[in-house]
Amino acid sequence: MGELSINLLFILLNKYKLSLKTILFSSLIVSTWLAWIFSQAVITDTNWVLQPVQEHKYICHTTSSENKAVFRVKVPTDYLAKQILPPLCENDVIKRQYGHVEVFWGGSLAEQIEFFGKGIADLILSKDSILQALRADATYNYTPIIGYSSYSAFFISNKEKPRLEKAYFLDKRIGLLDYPTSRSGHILPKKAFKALDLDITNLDIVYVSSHSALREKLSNNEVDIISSYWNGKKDELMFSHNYIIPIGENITGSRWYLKLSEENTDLACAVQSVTKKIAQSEGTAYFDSLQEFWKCDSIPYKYLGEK
Amino acid sequence: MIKIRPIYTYAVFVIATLTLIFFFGQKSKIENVVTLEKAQISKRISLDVSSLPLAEPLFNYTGNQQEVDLYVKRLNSQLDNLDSRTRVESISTSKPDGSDFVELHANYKVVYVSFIKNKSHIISTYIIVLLLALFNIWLYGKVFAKHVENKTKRRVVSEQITKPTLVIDLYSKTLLIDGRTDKQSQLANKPLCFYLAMIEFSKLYPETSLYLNKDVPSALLDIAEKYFHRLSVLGHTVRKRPNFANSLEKTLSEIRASLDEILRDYPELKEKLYPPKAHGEGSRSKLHNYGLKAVSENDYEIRGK
Repeated sequence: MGELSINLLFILLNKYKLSLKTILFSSLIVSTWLAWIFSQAVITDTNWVLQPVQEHKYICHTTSSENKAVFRVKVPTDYLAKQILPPLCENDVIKRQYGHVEVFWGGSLAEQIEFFGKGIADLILSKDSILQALRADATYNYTPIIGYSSYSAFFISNKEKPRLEKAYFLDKRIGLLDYPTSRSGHILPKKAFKALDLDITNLDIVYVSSHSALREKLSNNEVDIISSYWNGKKDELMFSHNYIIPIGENITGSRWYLKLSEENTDLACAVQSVTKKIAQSEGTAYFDSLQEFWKCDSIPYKYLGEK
Repeated sequence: MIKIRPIYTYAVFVIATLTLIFFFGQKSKIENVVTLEKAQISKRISLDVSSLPLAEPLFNYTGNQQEVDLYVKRLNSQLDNLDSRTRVESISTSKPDGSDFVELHANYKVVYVSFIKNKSHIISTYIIVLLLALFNIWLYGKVFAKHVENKTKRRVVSEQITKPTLVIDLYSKTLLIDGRTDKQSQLANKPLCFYLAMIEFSKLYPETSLYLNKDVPSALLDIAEKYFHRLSVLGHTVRKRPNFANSLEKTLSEIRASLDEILRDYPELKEKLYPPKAHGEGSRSKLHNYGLKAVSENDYEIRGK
């Protein structure tokens, strides 16, 4: 085979008057070209497009698949979204009235305002202050379903009982929450500083994103004082009840609001049973005692209103 | 000095050239791929950055590092599945230490995305280089062998074409074989002219035999005279005109001695151009023919005729 091809080569050489050097040279040229082509070909091209990494929306379908009506829920965290989705789809009232359930999650205040203020969400976990600001009760008839109990806000320290004096705060590292809607972690402490005639810009304030992060910073001695609610069960273990000082009482907790356009009392009670279970299962923070806004244990179901 | 065979030189040259080309080709391709991947990843992050809890110094937002880390982890697992060479190391709003990061300018904040890049070559693909190199070396071997073969063939052919020729040079009064200047033999005027005359005579009168006991034919003597004249024209010192008919034996033996030396390696030529000696029983007699026979034009060449 080799012999034949080489003979054929020489016939060609003679025919086209090519010298041996020419054929060697061309072979080398072709080889270098091939080496380049292969060097490019062995590395696979990037031809992919990345899919969204985090889904901020979960969907489940109820058994009434013909029904196009959507029940939209807006919650702040991924965890809560995953928790609320299955019981909603399995609920008999939701099944009857809706084709599928969409749960959106995200901590952004701007998003919450869109969902709440424009009546996008059928069910939303939010705060009374935001409802009042948007007048969402009047525009879309958002009605509270279940509320976490009222709580008090405190300055919590690790080493001494804080004093509500101007001088006391001047050399302290203070931990606050970075979202402006938090009363215990943002609004009330700042209000307290204002009352003490303290300029906030002169204070050594460390902002963090959650109540648990505040507690972590305090126990790690990264801050001297934090502003938060007092969770008797958990905080007793880490901090002393003697080293707290109240800065605000009877703060309304977060509430589940339902957009109730008609006298859909069945739905209100169905949602109340679902959210109640979720609130009870959490049991971590100040969500221990719940306030129910609907009387669902006996017919006729009815709205109880604020206590 | 050790002589390196040309094929080894060629092999080293080919392997080095092809490896270099392959190396730089693959390197540049990897760079391109990584750049493209970085662009794709940056695009994804840009779309997601609004929902990422990144620190935002202007608004005192500390962000949620755990959630950002989780995002990076998920993004990387997706990249793993896509066999990407690039991974995200971190996403933050503070400038990372390394130099390899991308800046994404958003409203109120700059997001820095730093990458981990895998720029390693696929070593197994270098077998291609080896195969290409081996082919070229094999071809070189084949071509080289054929080249040598052709060369020897050509030499044989050229040798066959150039048959040995006896050259009689009148300028230098020498005898030699064409192309072999190392062996020469000079002749005096008389034997030189006589030998030339013998060659010419044998051509003109191939039937006429020459005997020692008979007079030298006048035609032969005329030719000898002619050559003698030619020698004097060429400027050779001529003392007196020799008598060509005299002391024939001596002249012949001088010619033979000279030819013996020159034609030793060429028996074929000797057979034709050597004045025959008397042999056998009548060797002493003066009856044998000393004339040349079957001399062809191709066997000799007279320069300066």
